[in-house]
Amino acid sequence: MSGLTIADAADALRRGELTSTSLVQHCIERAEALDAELGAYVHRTDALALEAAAVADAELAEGRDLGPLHGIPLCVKDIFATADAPTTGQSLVFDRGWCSGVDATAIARLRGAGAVLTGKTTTMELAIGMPDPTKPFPIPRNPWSTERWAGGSSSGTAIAIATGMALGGPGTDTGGSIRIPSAYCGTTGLKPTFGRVSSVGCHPLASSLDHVGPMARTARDCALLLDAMAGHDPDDPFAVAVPFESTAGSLDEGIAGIRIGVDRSLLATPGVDPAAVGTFDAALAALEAAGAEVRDITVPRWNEGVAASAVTMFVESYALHRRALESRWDDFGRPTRQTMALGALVSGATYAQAQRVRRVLRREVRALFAGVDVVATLASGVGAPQVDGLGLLTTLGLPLFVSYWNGVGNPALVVPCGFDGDGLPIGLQLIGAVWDERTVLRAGHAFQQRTEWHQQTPTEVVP
Amino acid sequence: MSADSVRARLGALQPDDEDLAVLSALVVAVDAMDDLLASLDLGGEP
Repeated sequence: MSGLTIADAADALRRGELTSTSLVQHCIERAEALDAELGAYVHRTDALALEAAAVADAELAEGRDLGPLHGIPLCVKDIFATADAPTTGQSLVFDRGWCSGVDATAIARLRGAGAVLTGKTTTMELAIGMPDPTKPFPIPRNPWSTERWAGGSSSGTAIAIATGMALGGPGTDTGGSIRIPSAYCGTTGLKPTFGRVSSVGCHPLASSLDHVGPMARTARDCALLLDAMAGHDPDDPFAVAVPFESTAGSLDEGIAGIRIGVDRSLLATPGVDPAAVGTFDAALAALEAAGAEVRDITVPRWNEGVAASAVTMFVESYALHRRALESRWDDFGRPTRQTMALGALVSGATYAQAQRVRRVLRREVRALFAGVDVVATLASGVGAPQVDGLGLLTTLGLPLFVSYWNGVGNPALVVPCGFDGDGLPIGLQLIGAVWDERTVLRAGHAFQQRTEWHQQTPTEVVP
Repeated sequence: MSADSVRARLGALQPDDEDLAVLSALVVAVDAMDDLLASLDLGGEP
């Protein structure tokens, strides 16, 4: 049952081969067996999940079918407010009264679709930094090798999906926080277009970069989750009222004729593992075999876009937490306070220039997508780094290809596409035009119809 | 950049020596981002 997808579980529930209760019990058993070592959960809600599962089973038995998420166990990153569980942000400085007793909009929509919530999963403190073993929170470890980092900041959700502690869940992504853990843990995750999913009730990090999106085993599952979460929220100042059309409904249309752009200069980035380049080229061949046309492109002003995203994240997170950093410096984890403090080193003029650069880049990227439907890159040029001794100096030097897309806001999906030279998962990133999650998910689904990487489970570490 | 210079730029923040060593190493990267972004001529882009 551990490799079960949401779509498969939904079918099995309706055929009477599974119950929501049995699914939730399985997730609890997996967490009991594995989580002390892997650190996926900050807070589990086993009893509440079993109650909700029993309700879902009764509703389905009565023919009250809320759709494919009905009765499906999902976990929740611990920066989303949930009405029935505490939110900690995995931080000693987090205001425990923040949004107490209410669901974030995305969570309310998932519950409304019948999902069963299993608990709150680990993040990096306040969704930034790295794990700090001196603080009283679990250290997320990679299920493919527990000496390795799970990636962040939606760490626990990726671990839970990879190991069957949950079938999916919402994540957040400010500089890669859905896509990095998905790539490192061999799961699938989508950063939708900026403004597509409400961020109300999700604790902010850098508001002009924060994205809420789905994480699961497959592109199909991500589509099911996105369809439930998306939709304009007038209470969200960053949401955009753009019509949303179901993404799950178009998954099987195939990708014949779709134009995929590849900027091969990114593969020459220092630190990229040749084995990862091999997996990338094999992934492109699989997409071509499915009917796509691969062509060379140049992503506009890559280094400038990465710098603009970084500057924005440093300054906006620092602004949000400045007073607490001044008064409770030692209560922050070391990597978190160091990352945020970088915002104090950036001038106002530089921040303003970064926003000008982002506006120019949005136009240039829009022009790029006039010639292609999807851009493909690696998510990371190498598998997960060692978790012990992980610090800011280490992680800022990693060959990652994700934060640029936060600055411009385009949707970006990561799907597993192989392993690096150390046997650690590698992720393929598929980026689409703004508001075109349908094409991105369709490409990811077509890839997963032709490959089996998404079916791999970390059995050497996790029996 | 010296640790004292970095400490001055951090204003009211109170980093310990270990924090300061990391931030002193990273200020070079932050300033390089500043230079890169400032070097762009964006014309009349508001």
